[in-house]
Amino acid sequence: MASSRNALGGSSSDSGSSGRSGSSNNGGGHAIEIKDLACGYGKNQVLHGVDFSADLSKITAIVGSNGSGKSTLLKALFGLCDVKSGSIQALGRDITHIPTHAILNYGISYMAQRKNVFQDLTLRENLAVVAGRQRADRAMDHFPELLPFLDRPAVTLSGGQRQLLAMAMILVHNPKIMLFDEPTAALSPKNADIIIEKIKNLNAEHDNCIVLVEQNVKYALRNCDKVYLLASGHVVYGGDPEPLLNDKDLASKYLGM
Amino acid sequence: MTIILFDGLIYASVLAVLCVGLSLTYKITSVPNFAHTSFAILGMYMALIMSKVLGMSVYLALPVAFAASGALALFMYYGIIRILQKKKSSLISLIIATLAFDMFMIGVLNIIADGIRNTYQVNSRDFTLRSLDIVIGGDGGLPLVFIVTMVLLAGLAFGLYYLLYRTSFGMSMRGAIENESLAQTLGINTRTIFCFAWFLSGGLAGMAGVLMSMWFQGDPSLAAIMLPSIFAGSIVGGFSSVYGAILGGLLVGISEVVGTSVLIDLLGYWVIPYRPVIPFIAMIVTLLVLPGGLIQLITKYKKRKNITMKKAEEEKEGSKEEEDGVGA
Ligand SMILES: Nc1ncnc2c1ncn2[C@@H]1O[C@H](COP(=O)(O)OP(=O)(O)OP(=O)(O)O)[C@@H](O)[C@H]1O
Ligand SMILES: [Mg+2]
Repeated sequence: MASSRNALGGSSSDSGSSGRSGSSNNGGGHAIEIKDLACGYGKNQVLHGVDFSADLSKITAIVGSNGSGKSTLLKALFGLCDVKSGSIQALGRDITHIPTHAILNYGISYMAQRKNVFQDLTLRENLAVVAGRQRADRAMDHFPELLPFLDRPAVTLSGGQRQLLAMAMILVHNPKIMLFDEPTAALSPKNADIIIEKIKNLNAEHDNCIVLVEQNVKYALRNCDKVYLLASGHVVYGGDPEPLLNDKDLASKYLGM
Repeated sequence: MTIILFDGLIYASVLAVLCVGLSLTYKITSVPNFAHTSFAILGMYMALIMSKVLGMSVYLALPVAFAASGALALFMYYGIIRILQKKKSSLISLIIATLAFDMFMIGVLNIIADGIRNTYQVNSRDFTLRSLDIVIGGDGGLPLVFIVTMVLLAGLAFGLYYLLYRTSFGMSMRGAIENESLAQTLGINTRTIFCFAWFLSGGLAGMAGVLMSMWFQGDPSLAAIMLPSIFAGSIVGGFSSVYGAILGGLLVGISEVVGTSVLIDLLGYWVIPYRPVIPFIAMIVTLLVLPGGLIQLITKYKKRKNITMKKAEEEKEGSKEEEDGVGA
């Protein structure tokens, strides 16, 4: 237990330095660099030859229809699916075969699309899992909305509150890179705005690299610096958002616009 | 009368400790471990070796058995269960694997028993270490093993509560049990946690075995004889809650001892071999009447309360909420 706590505690202090050394290391390289990635679940290959990169202080969006492999791409970064070939680098370091629980130490954190908080644990306990008991309360500094619920089981939260808690949990270690998988799914527009505002603030304040999977394309394109369009596991577009919006062909074929 | 009291309470407490371990490993691995009693029998033989062979205090066997049975459980998890689970084996093959390990262990324990008898001329079958125990207040007084058993059970109940609800390691453990991949993405080494839990439940079973041999008897055949009782206790408790397991173990243990003695008074000594019928009845009645076990009574109430709270939260902000699916 002591060792796991140390590993966690240590990561928060050195994720800053790893971020700094990372950005100087790769000398103008990308915060995330995925090359020719093929991955899937067991025999079922989902992504085919995916090239992807994302930069510090930018928001990179991933869009595509249901089942196109957006979540799988984020899961690949976190070792949650089977990588068959290709390489994944984060802040200049290779993380292709790092076990899931150790990836946090590379300055990355990941907020899953579903089940991203422990339902049976109270909010305070959820935070204690990532921050240790002493620091749990401080993790709430950016989320005053949640303070009244600290001692309630997370299962009693509304959808929006739960997403906020999930965010609070991944922010504990000041990650340089943050992966959000549909953080606004199933939220009312008001709550979705709150979440997106938080994400944009993070980006503006801390030069973080943010990767955002979004179902709502217009929403995503309005808020991002770079966009990837996935279709059946292939990248069909990667680059600035405007050309994608203006490309009638792509837009109508994949985005239903 | 006092003998029945000691019999009942010691047996029930030992059973409760075993049920806690069985439920804990079930919660983590989702496999009912049919080899769980063999951890306890190993503890019995540790007690025999420490006291009769090495001539030390039998109480020294408690930590030794904890370590030995813990290591055995760890080996079983890390060397067998985890590998099979990685290969996505079905539940049936996993259960058969635990049965096979149980048979293997019964063989090993028989070899140990014969080895002790042949090498050291010590009775190693149906042995009891009761005569080695200290009785406080002389004959008819309070046996130390009774106090130690009660302290162990109380310590376990309190210790588990403290671990699971008051330390961040325990909270991570609860989290890892609920959602392993989420725990991993949050930086928790779930493998370490699960190994710890298996070690703990094996070690507890080993200690239970030591205490068992100090009041009742020790023999390799007990692995099979006690199996229905610890499954009954765990099922009565709900099979996934450590507190349910304590309650269930105590209940089944006491009804076994008291029920048998009442039946002896009523019907005669011929009923003794039918004692295992009692845990079976407890198991069947629970599965028919309260499939979720005693703990269901509590969780049901809690769940209802949680749903009301959640609804209230959502009405306040008017958001629509999808039901959670599976996946990370
Ligand atoms: N755990 C899994 N095991 C097997 N196949 C999976 C698993 N998760 C996803 N898939 C498959 O991988 C493909 C891509 O799924 P993925 O979740 O990445 O899509 P997505 O783009 O995130 O979709 P959505 O917009 O619905 O979230 C789908 O065909 C799906 O069936
Ligand atoms: Mg998805």
